[in-house]
Amino acid sequence: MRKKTLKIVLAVSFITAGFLGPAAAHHSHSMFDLEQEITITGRVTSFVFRNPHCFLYVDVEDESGTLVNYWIEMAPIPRMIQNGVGIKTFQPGDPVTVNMHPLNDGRPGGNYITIVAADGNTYD
Amino acid sequence: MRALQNLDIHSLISLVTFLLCGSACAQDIFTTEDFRQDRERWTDPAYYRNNSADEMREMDTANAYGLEGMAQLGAAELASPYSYQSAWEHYQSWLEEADGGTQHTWETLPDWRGRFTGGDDRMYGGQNPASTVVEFLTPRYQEYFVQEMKSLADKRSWGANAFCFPGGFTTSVRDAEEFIITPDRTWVLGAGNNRNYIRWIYTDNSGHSSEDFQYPKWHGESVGFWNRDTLIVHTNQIRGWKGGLTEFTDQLETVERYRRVGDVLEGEITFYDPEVHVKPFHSKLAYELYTDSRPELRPLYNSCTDTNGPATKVYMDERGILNERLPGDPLYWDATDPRPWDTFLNISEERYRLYRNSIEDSAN
Repeated sequence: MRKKTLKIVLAVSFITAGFLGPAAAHHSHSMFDLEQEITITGRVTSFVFRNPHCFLYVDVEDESGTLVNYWIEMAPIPRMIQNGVGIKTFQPGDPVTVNMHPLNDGRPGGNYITIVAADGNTYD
Repeated sequence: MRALQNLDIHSLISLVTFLLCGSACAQDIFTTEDFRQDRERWTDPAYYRNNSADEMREMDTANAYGLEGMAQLGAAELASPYSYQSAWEHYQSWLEEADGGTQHTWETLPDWRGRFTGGDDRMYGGQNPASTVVEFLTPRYQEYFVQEMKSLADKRSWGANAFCFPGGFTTSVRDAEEFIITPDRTWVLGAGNNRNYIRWIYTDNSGHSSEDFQYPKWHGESVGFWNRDTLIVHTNQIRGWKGGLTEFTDQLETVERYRRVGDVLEGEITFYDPEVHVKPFHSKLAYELYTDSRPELRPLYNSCTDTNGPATKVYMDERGILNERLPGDPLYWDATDPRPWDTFLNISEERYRLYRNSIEDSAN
């Protein structure tokens, strides 16, 4: 099954190699724990709509009630546009739920998988 | 006997290897402590668990470390079909075949309008096992290549993009999107997500720069000619870098050929780098017409620093004055390092070894 998954991932990767390849491989993902998925819910503090990566910053309340700002790395602009995300999709103050692969050094952040935006849509 | 008949070629190779050298051969790129001691296995597909170089390079984003690959021996022929000894001999032969080339006017030029996508991944080793790439390389570059494969197996990959370096010549070929042709010059344009590409191909018989003024350039210096509807290109003065099949040196010269067939710009490229290759390496190219014409997906100028920030070598010092870090200063980075990936991989190997040791120590 894992071999089949790899095949699909690689097929997608090769298909997008033309326009999205350089950014798809902009840098190694070894900083993320790709074996783990975590979900956070909070409010957007800023959305950076730029290449080579888009970034979402989200304030999340921890168990002690302290706000922790999460750094979420996203795909490059062309990929985000193809997935329906534009520069106004995430606004400061918007509630969002982010599913992501966390950073593997414990800092608050990760590589996004899906984001449920304030409009109720799920973006990947 | 039936089980033997059902074995594919890779399994058969693995079985024969095991029978010949026993458990010592069970070590592969994912498990070896010292890949340099495994030289006799570098040309064995099983050493890479049958992964192609591309599959090794994609393991990171695919989270597929250590999985068995799908590479097939001979999936794409990597060897040049030509017997030319140099790129210039190759180019001159084709020029002779074209009777000195076709002198196009604006009216006779072929129609190459459109935005294309996707040069062929064979230029990056294709679907062949990584072991087949090793067979193309001189001993020193075999070791460099396997060192890279080992770093990928350890999740320690180096990428030009990650450090905001240019992609180099091979990337400018693979990621070409638009071919702006005129009677005396062709521009090849590409837009990555963190950088842009441009190549100038002179078809006006002006030739290359004189030898006194030849020096390595990121995309080299290209001259070409037309043979009816086919563009032939010779490129030299390419700056040695990493990309494609493996890294290459300043000695690399290439010959390309392009022709539009319907919605596909078909081509090929032959690499001549005697320092790196034991024989010329060849790849087909195919750029397909991109049909999504949405304005928001037009190509755009990109800079890596938009999100990754500027270089650290130039900085504001404690006096508030612009200053530069010099060799020996903390955070100094040598911009003239011709092989920065080698510096990275060598330091990475040592750090990774210490990291592994510390984990083992804490576990004991």
